[in-house]
Amino acid sequence: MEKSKNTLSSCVIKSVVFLLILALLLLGLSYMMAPKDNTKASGITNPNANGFYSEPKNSIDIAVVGNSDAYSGFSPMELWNSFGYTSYVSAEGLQVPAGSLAMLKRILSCQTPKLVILETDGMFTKTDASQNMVNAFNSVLGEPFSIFRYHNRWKKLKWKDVLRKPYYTAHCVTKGQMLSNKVKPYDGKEYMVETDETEKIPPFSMLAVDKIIKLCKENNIELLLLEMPSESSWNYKRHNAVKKFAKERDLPFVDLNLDRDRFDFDWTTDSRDGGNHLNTRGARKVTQFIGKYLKEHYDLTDHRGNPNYSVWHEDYKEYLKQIKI
Amino acid sequence: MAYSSIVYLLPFLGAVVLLYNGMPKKYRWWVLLLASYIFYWLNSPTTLIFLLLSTVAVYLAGIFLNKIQDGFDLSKKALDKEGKKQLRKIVGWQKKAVCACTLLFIFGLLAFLKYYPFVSENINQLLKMIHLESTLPQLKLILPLGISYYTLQAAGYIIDVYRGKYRADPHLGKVALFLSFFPQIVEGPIARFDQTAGQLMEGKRSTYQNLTWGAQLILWGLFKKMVIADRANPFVAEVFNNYTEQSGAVLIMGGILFTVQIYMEFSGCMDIVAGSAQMLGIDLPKNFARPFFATSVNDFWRRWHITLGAWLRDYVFYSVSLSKGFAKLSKKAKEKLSPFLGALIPSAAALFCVWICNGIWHGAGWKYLAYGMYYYLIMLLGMLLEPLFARCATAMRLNRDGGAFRVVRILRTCLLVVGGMTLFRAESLGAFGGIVSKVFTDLSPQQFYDGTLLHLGIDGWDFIAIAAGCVVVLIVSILQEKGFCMRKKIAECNIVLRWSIYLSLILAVVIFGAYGPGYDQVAFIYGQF
Repeated sequence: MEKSKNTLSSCVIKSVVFLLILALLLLGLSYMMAPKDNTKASGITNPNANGFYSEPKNSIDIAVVGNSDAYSGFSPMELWNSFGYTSYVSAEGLQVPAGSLAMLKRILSCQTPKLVILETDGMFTKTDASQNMVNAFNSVLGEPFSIFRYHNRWKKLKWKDVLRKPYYTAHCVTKGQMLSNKVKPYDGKEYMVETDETEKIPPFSMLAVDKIIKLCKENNIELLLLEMPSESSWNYKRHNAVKKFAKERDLPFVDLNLDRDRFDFDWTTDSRDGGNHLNTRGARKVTQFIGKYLKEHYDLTDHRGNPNYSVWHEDYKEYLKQIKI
Repeated sequence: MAYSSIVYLLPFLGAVVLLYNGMPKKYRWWVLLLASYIFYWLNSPTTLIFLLLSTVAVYLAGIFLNKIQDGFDLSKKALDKEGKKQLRKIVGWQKKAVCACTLLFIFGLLAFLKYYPFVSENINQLLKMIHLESTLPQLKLILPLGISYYTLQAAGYIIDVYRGKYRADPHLGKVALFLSFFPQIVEGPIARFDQTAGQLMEGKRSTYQNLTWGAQLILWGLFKKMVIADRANPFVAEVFNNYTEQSGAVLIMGGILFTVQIYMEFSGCMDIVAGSAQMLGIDLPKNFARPFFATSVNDFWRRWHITLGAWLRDYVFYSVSLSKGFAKLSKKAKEKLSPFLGALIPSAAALFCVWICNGIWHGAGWKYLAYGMYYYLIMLLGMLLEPLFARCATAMRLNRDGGAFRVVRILRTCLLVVGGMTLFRAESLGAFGGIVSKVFTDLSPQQFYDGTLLHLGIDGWDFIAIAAGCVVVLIVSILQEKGFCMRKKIAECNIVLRWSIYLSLILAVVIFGAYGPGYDQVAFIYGQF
């Protein structure tokens, strides 16, 4: 009796059934615990980056992913006003490529961008094996099993939120950009000193970017690798590494740390923290340059005359009030 | 790769269990040895050399001790009684020399790497005080992972061989595996060679019960670590890092929560490592036996970090108290002073050595020495006052074994332990002095209930989660104290109830665990020793 109770097949069956029940419970709990809105009060992580949920469906043509360099330096409102392109910055502090991949999957659940811009600095963020595993899990199963991201919401969970469907109400005027008028100049040496050396891109980052490339191809989206000006997180070795990476994959790569005179960039006025991130003034200059580049290289639609996008004009007015320049 | 990390629990442990069971029996120990060295290399690649040095040193010393003993056994047959006596004396000295040199080497490595910065800093300060310009260089040394644990295991092995408890093992792999076994290397338990080496080499296949019971133990450990200890961590860090800004009430709460944190974390880690070993069919010695049910400080230390206490008892306490010098001293004290003092003196001296060792084992710093002395003085006072307590109890007709008295003794012990833990957690001895002073001069008892505690790194919900977790652990501990084997009891339940319990525990860890956005992974406190 004892023997038959614990045969290999019964053990395997029991284990599989147990894991299935666990997975179902986790799925159910994930649904119940997930924020049902994208406002800060709803408990969603990085509400600004997730503001695309409440933009009209399929209204965003350019999705920007990456780390803080991206949300500091890319200005969707400037791009809108000068070129009429609709864009959203879904960048997060310390977002690594696996995080960008997970974010892109979320974006594709409600938007159909024609172009994805990946800020490349995050490719060099060093992560340990544990973080890599967590990132890999999040980029593959992070959405259905969002309980691991939102488990701490048990503290603020309201019964009315548990079973209702998500309804996104946040309206981010800056479309994901973080505004800062603070000026803290960088007055150190030139950091882009030409060299033939390259910095190694961590394999896990390469793998994740390759997944982003695949995802973009599957959805007919073009991918642009972009590096914002950043003295403290960028150098020529990294430039060489990404340039080589992009060439091998036949991807365009724009490094805004080179020839900064092209867009009249000035480290003494355009950084908010001494050379790491751009301030609003720097973001405006950079975005104007990116806009021209996009106009030359991509077939993007100017929506400024389209009445369906009139709210973008309103947002731009509000944006101008907020930047106070 | 922390024991509570996903990398350790899934790919690493999972691969080891699979490979171990997939190998023919005689090669399974190779999997464990390889996994142990990979684990060590992944965690501390630059200090692997010190583990290798200690392993080779004790292995060779053991072989040498065997040879000396074999030579004696062979020669003694041809000798008369006097000749045997002479030879035994020579062999005794030879063995002592080998053992002493080996201990000097392995403890020398530990002492240099762990205590040099502390010693050199203090010597330099002393030299400065007496206006001498020469100074010892300040070296930045990396403390090898688990050196305090594997050094004690290595020392225990060589002392046991020297004492003739067992013969040294001629198998280098066995000694290497005994010292490096990956679940034990970071935080113990500190095992004896005859407790684990045989099991490690045996290559017993993991049974279904081993796998499930091991997984349950790991889950229980994760519950204690992630739901209770890690949730309490922000409060403890906030209070102790800014103790000058806190009132006495907050500092008392900090001491209590740190005691909870360190117990849940250390015992949780022991559950994870014991569970890991059990999945491989290996039983590790127990390191905890519900210490907060202890009725005295002595009892507490028999239940807390049991393997360290047992090591110090066997290799320090007995070595000192049973030494010829102390035997003579005890005899003289019995004759000239009193039988009570005659028995007390060797014990007090041996205890002093034990607590000095216990203190400095935990770390290089005056506060650790003070920590050892704190418990030494409590125990010494207990021993000195025991006759008085006994007389008072008799006079007052108190039943010292009664339930109420037992509860009082448990609470008293907990209070003393919280005091000790506060000293242990304080940044320095001076900081501990500051904390004690605050408790007596700026208690502000209203801060226990006016909401101040809810704004120090954690909120009310966190306190509720910690309290609920503690209640669950308390209920399980009470049942265990009454002799219930929880896993056996659960295994006897029907499948619906059994699985409900397992799933509830998993979901409790997933939902209430302190991890993910907003939480930094908390390193195991005892991993730093």
